[in-house]
Amino acid sequence: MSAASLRLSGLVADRGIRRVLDGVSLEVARGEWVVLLGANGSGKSTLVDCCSGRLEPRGGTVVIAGHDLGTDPVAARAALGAAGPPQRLPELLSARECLAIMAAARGLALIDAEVLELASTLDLAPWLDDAVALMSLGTRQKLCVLLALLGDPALILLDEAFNGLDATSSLRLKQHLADRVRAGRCGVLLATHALDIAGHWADRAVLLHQGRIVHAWNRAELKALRTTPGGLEAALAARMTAADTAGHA
Amino acid sequence: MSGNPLAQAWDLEERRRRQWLPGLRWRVAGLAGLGVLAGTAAWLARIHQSAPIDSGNLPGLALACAALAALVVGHERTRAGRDLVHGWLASAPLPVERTREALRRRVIGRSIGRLVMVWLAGMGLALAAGAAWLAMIVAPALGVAMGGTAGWWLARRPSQAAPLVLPRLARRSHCGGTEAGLRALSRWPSAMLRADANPRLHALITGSLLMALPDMPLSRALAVLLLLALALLAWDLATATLKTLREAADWLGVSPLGSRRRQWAVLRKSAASVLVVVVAMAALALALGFPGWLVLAVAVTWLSACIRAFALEGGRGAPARRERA
Repeated sequence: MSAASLRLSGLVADRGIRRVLDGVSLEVARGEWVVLLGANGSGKSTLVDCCSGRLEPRGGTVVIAGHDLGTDPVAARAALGAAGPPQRLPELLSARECLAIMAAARGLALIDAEVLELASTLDLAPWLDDAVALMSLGTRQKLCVLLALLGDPALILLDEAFNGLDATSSLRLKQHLADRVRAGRCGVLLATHALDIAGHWADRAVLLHQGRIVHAWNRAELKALRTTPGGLEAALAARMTAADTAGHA
Repeated sequence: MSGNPLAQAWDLEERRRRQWLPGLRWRVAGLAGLGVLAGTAAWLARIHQSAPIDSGNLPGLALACAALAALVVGHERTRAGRDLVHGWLASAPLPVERTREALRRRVIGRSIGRLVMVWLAGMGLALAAGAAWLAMIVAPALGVAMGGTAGWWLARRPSQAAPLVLPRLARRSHCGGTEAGLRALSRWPSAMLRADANPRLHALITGSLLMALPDMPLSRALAVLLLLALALLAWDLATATLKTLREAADWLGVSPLGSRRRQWAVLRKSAASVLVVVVAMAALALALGFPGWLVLAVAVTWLSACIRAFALEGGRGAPARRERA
C-alpha cells in the first residue's frame, strides 16, 4: 500500500518527428483520482499510452505500484488496468470472450464477479455474448472499462472513457470508480475534456499544455471553482492563455 | 480459460474469420482443381520434355521457393507484430515467452497454406523437369523451410515509438476541390507501397536469386532478376491497392462520394500500374524463352485474381462487414 499507484519522472515522448511530452513528472497516490486536462494535441493520450506501455517514451521513467515499466514490464502491467480505445477491440470475439481472455492474461481463473456485476449495472449483460462488431460505441466503451477493471489493478488508466456513455451508465461507472478509490484499492488517472468529472469527482486536476504540466488544482480549489463565475472552464482557459504568453515571452 | 491468452484470442479470431469468409469451400475446391490441372500439365511436360527448367536447375528452384516463402512469412510476421503492439492486449501482463509463442503460432497458421502451395508448385516444376522423386520432394521443401526462417528474422518489427506505418506525405497540401481530393486518393496506394516496403527482405531475395544463377550469362541473369523485381512490385502494388480500397471504404463509405467514383479514384493509377507491370513481366518471360501457354496462363490467372479481389474489396464497405459479423 505504500507505493504510489503511478510515478512519472521526466517523461519525454515523440510522435513521429513531433515532441509531444517534454519532461512530465506526476504522481498518483493510491486512493486518489487524478484528472488530466488539456487542449487537443496537448499530449494527454500520449501520456496515457506511455503509462500503458503502448508507446515507448524517449526518456524518463514510468513506475506503476513500485514496478518500473521499462525494466520490469510484466510486473508493472500486472498492476495496471488500462482501457484501450474501443476501435481496437477484436470485432469477431464476444464481450464475454474478451473478458475471459483478459482475465487469463492477468492470471485469473475466472472473470471477476465484481466486474460481471458491474456489467449488469451498466446494462451490458444482454450484450455479453454478442460479437463486438455488433456493439455501439458506448457499449464498446463500457467493455473497454470492464477489461481495465479485471484483477483489481493498483492503477486504472482511462482515456476519454466516458465518451459515448449514456447518462445513467456514466453516473454508475463514476460511482463505482469513486468507491474503488475511496477504499484505497487503486489510483485513477483519467484523461478527459469532461470538466464535470474534474469538478465533482476528482481529487486533483492537472493541466497539460504543450507537453508540460503547467498547473494543478487540488480538491478544495476545485470545489471553490464550482461557485466562481465561469468555474473550472474559465480557470482552465486563463491558465492556458497565461502559459501561451509565458511561452512566447 | 488457460494456456496462452494471446494465442487463444488470435486463434478464435482466425476461426471466426474462416467461418464467415464467403465461398471458402469454393475457393478450396478451385485450388484443388487448379492443383490437379497443374499436376497434369507438369506430367505432360515431363513426357514431352518441354519443361521450363531442366533437372540441373534444382538448386535455383529451391532458392526461388525460398524467396517466395520469405515473402509470405515476412509479411505475416510484420502483420502479427503490428497487431500485437497496437492491439487490445498490448497492455496485458504477458511474459515475452508467451508473446513469442503466440506470434509463432499465428504466423505459421496464417502462412502454412501458401507455403504448401509454394512447395507443391516447386514439386510440379521439378516433376516436369524430370527430377528424381526424392530430389523433387526435398529441394522445394528445403527452399521453403530456409526461406520461411529468413522471412521470420528479416521481417520488419513494428516499433512502439512509431505507432503506425506512416506513408510519406507531400509537404504541399493537395486539398482544393473534389478533383484534387480524388487525385490525392489515387496517389495513396503508391504512398502505402513505399511505407510497407521492406528493402532488407527484397535484397535477400535478389541475392538468393543471384546465387541461383551462377552459370547463366550476365544479360540473362539480369533479365531474370528484373522479372523477379517486377513480380514483387506487382504483388506489393496489388496488396497496397487492396489496403487502400478497404480504408477508403471505411472512412469515405458514408460520404456523398459514390462508391464507384471512390473505387475509380483509388484504382485509376494503381490498377493501370498493375496491368503495365504484368504485361512487362509477360513480355520479359517470353523473351527469356518461357513457354507461351505458361506465361499466358500465369498472367491471366494473376490479373483475374486481382480484378476479383479489387471488385470484392471495393464493393465492400464498413456496414457490409458489420452485417456479416
